[in-house]
Amino acid sequence: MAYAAPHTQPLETSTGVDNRKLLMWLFLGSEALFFGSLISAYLLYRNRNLTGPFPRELYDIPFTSVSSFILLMSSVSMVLALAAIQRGDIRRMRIWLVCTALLGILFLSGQAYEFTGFYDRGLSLRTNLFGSTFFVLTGFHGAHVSIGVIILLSVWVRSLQGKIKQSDSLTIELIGLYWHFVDIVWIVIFTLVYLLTGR
Amino acid sequence: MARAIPGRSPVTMADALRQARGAGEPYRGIWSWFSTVDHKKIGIMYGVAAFLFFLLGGVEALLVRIQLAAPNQDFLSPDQYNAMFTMHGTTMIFLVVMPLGVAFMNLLIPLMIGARDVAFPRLNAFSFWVFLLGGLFLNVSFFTGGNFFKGELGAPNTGWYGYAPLTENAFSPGNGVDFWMLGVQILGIASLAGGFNFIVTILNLRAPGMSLFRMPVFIWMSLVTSFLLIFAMPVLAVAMFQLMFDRLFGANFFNAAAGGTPLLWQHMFWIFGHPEVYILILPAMGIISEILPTFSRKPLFGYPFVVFSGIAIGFMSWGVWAHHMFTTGLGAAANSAFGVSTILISVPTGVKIFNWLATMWGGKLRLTTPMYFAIGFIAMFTIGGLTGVTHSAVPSDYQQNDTYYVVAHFHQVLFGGAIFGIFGGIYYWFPKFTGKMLHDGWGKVNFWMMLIGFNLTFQPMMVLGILGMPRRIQTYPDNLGWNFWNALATVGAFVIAASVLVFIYNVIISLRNGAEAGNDPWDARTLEWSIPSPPPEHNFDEIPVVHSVDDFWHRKYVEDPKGRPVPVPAGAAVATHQDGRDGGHGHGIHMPSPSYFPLISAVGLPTIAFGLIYSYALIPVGVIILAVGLYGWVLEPVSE
Amino acid sequence: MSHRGIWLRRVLIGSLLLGTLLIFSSCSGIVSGGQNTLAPEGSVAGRQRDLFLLVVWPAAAIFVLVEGLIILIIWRFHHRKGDDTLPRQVHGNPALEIAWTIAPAVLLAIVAVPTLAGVVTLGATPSKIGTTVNVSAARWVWSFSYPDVKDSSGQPVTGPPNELHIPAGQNVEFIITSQDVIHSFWIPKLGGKTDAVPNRQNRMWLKADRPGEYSGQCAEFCGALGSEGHATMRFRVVVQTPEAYRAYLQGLASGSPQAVANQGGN
Repeated sequence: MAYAAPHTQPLETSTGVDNRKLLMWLFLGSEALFFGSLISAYLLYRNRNLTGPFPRELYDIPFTSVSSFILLMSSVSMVLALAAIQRGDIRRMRIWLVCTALLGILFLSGQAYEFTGFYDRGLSLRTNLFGSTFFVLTGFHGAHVSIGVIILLSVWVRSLQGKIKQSDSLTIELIGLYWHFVDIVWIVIFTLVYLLTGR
Repeated sequence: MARAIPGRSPVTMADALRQARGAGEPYRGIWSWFSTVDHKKIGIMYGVAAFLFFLLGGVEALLVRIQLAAPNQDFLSPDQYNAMFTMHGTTMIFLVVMPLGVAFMNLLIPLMIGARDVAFPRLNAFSFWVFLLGGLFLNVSFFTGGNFFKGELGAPNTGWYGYAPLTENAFSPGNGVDFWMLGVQILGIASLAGGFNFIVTILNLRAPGMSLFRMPVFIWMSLVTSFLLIFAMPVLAVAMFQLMFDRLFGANFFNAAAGGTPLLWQHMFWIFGHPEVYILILPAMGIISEILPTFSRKPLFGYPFVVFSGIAIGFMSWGVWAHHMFTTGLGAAANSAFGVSTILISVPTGVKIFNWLATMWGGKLRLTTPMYFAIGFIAMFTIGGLTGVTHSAVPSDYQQNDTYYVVAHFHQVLFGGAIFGIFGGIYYWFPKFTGKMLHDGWGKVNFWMMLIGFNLTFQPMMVLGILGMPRRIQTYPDNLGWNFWNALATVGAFVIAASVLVFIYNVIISLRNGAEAGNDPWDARTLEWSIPSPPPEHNFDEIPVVHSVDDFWHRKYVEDPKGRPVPVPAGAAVATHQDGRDGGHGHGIHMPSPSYFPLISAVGLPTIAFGLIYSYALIPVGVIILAVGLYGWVLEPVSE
Repeated sequence: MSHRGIWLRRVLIGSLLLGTLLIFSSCSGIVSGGQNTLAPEGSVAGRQRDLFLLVVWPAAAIFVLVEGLIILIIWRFHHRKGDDTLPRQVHGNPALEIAWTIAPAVLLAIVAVPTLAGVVTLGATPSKIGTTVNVSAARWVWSFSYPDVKDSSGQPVTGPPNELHIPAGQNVEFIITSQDVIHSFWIPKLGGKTDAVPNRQNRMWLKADRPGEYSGQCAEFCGALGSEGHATMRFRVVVQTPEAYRAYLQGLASGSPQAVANQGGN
């Protein structure tokens, strides 16, 4: 759908905002409700957990801080990729896109490491309320990061084929919007779920 | 009528079909429907599919009514009965009223705002295919419970609202609930895709001069509905995912033994569910806000009031969800707050009713079939609104909650309101999209039968609720004074069914021998009537320039100083209202090319869902289909 | 539109109107037994009925107003043959519209006051409680136990399933919970319902006017298995004089509930 409108000849719109950009903002608004509901469920159940393991026994805040920092940095490289294509510097854009994707993959690896660690210490989806709410919330976030990585790498491949030009900067901008959104969601999750642990 | 675009004679349906086929090169004939991205074809498919589901949901309702016609019957077993009312509710909400609203939005939004198509034509096609496949997926469940012909139904049987923990594996083994939660999830994707698309279309593709406050009221209601869709569906999606993780992967969201609370489900479901009620009714309100002025021969009374009350309803619908939960023990504070918010939301609704009445007041009412249905809407929806107010008196609701009084109330709103509005809309716009008028006499037979059937069916339910008959029971003792009213309701249901048969008959004879519609058979007010019936693929030869609300009307009539409309001399107005930047007469207009990728992508979703239920091996297959579809979609060259 | 059609419409809508009124009046009059919520036998149900009627009468007035206006408008303003002129084009009247926004708001504010009062009164258990009953729902059985009297092992005495005994003329508090799915505890003649939710204890109170037998029913759909299910999850309510009620509980404690139940009917 990112290519639904012809990108060579921008359409005149009533609001002046490109159709695709408006679509992305609406999509992110909808996503905000999605993550809002997941986070609310986590918070509602935070103090209802009957059996262990409990969050504070498992969370490794320094480790998660580092992986959060990695995800934050990926937003910086995403900004640099957009700046590059807007200048017409496709080569730099490519580098920053790969950089963003790699940081995303690094974050996902951290999440995979964390998940397996929790699992080894007795926490699964089935164990207790904490397991259910935690894995579903962070799992959906991870899925969003994964989709972002796939999109980034797809665009990277397209650019290697020479199919991405300066006039496609909107495409990169939209991917950037999505990526920053996923990043912001993580900041909220990190604050509410990890830092304000509760019982 | 006389004001057709110069050089273009009214087109017959056959011409239009030929034209549509020709335009779809190289996709010909029936296959053109599978790849179409034309909002009118998608709208028609949405409407026809939803109408077929309407018949199915109607049969389910009749089976329910046969079972309840007399006390102590065993026409249906408890399980079959439970499956019937569950599928009736789920079907009528997700497969009938919602998609019928979407069908009208598809057909009308581009035409009413002076656009050639929606903003994302392929996303639109995707929305339809996902809806159709999701609906079929849901109904496949009938056949998965063993031998269908021996009455072994696999369909979900936990109610359309699926209260946890009844939906958990422990209480609902079998696949019924799995089909329900995954099917509704798929349908949610279709709604989301539609919602995004309509908002962008309405905000971005308006014709020059059509500011927000020159948009027809139907467009405003579609906009509010679409916003409700994109914000309500994700909440439902999360609830359904939680149920899915509970059922398929052993999570504990609604497991009381692990400390979970089933009320979490109710909160999330109704945070979606109450905006959903307005998703169902607002398009119908928009429809009758178009019909009433046309046949009253007057503009809508207080356009800004109607628009703002629609917006107010949209906002307030987020603050009333817990009125579905007054008896769950939320406490006095919450019950008071939600009682008051429920009282408040009836104000903007009441405003609309008086604005509609004032629209008719002083008019010269042409009492055609669409007008009958529009007036029927006001008359019946008023009852629904008033019975709704009795629920906001919380202690009184402790008695009515979960009784037939509630069943009566929401059918007064959703049948007396939404369905009457939708039928009015069908009679009103049928000529525009087929080129033929629906027969007015049969239309009136249809109306009176439906009105009588409706009142016979649902007003007795009000009495039954007061007499203490709870919902969702498949049998009842014969000494509680319920027998007569139940029998009456069953008779009424069959009268409604007969009225629908009359409607089908009317459609068939009208398509064959109906009077030619011409461009503007009703002397109407909005832009869609300025173009041929059925509209050409590109809708407008030249994009109109809009100068006021009801712009098309003002091209036909000007008001003298006393506010009396005077016809514009023939032909004088036409040329001045077009800006000509797109070249004339449909030449050189590039329409989006057809595409199979939306359909392919859509097939991926039920494949994944089947995989989740039967064999995880199917999941990667579904994911690959989805990925192929999406990549093809994104990468296919677009000739626009 | 012919005049015959107009008349048909008027007659139909008129009869509809009349029918609705008849229905409302018949509810309170004809059917007095069973589960009629408009013929209450207890103070809570009485209060709920009064509040319902308080809303119904203004609602009926608005109903008559709107349907009357519809008929009047059709009668006065329908298009007449041969009249090709157009009506005056009125676009709105803000003063009028503000008036019909405020009028229902005021009317509804009047409804809100007794509503809120009712929520508070019925929400809090009164300080003078005659007795307490523990209600436990499970698919598809109601169990009632009475903490006022303990059995030999110190547990509240439990009556037979699907049979509830309460004293007349006293406030009775119910502590309601469920063993499995959500059910709803409801005795229509005595008062509204409260859900039985697993992992949660909901409270409700009722007061029966006089001894007698009433029927109660599960009001939240709870599934079915074979011929058993939500529809059959009914229970019998025996309201007794306080003395007979005490005797019934003592009988339960001593293990001969049947004998006591038979003599304790009234």
